[in-house]
Amino acid sequence: MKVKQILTALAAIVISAAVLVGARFGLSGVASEIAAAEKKEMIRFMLPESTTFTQEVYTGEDEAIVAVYKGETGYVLETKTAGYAGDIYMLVGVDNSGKVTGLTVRDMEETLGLGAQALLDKDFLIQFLGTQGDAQIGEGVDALTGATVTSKAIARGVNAAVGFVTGADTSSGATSWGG
Amino acid sequence: MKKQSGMLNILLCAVVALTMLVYMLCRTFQPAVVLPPLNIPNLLILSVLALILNAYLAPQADYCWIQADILAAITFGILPWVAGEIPAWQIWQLALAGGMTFAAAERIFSSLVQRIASGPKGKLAILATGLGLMLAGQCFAGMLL
Repeated sequence: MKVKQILTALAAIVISAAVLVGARFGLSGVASEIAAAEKKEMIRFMLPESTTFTQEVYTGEDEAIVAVYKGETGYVLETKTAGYAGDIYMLVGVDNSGKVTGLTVRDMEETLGLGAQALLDKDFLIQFLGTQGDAQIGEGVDALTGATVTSKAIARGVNAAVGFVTGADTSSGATSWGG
Repeated sequence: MKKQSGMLNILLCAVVALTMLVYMLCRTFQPAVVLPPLNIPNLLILSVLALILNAYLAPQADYCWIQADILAAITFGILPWVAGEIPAWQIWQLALAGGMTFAAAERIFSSLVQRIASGPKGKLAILATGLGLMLAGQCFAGMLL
């Protein structure tokens, strides 16, 4: 009786796994196409005055920079900084004068209702627009309520992106957590 | 003596598989959406959903706790991996976390339901217990983090 139960449960797992594998392979082509198109659109949105972007190889030492996309009027940088519960991935647009033109959080694992507000809180995100590597929580930029670590991680990502364009070193200990 | 049933693990498998399918569809058609991570509070939600369904669909069934825990660990390890949500090296981590979370949820849920649900009007107690356990899990995880 017990063996039958175990085999039934294992069969359910195998059937579910087979369905998921089938769905995954069936959707893989469409998924990569849609993801690439969405990312392209988002990159253009981060730096609205540029129309064409080329990906450049990043050879610097700042671990916060993941990818670099060069446009006519500036750069869009993909950044990764350590948040409260995991890494926070962002796209940050910076024009050639080192001014932030756009930012969006692409992925995070922050606490629901606290750090996760960084995804949608326009009042928080808008504070970074126009900054030039000087975004600091508590000094001109208000943190999200109850999410200081997340806020500082986002500031660190934004400052790292500006630092790439202006040549400033934001990876030193002095700017850890964006502070 | 109650009849032994494997329904709980089949329901858990269905809940996890459906969740992974939803994740897959979201990642395909809405790639910008940030989905909830597969962490302990969210594994607890999936476990409690399966326990609620089991309590309604097979209220009289009994099951071997250890067997159910091991099968739950296999479910949490394998299905997210085949869905592409976790890399292969993370299978054992998620299996361990999922198995332990399920084990804890199962014991707390069973104890609470058996004490709260009584008579024909106790039907809602299952749902209330499940929701309470989910909220408690979120709060506890918040305290630990």
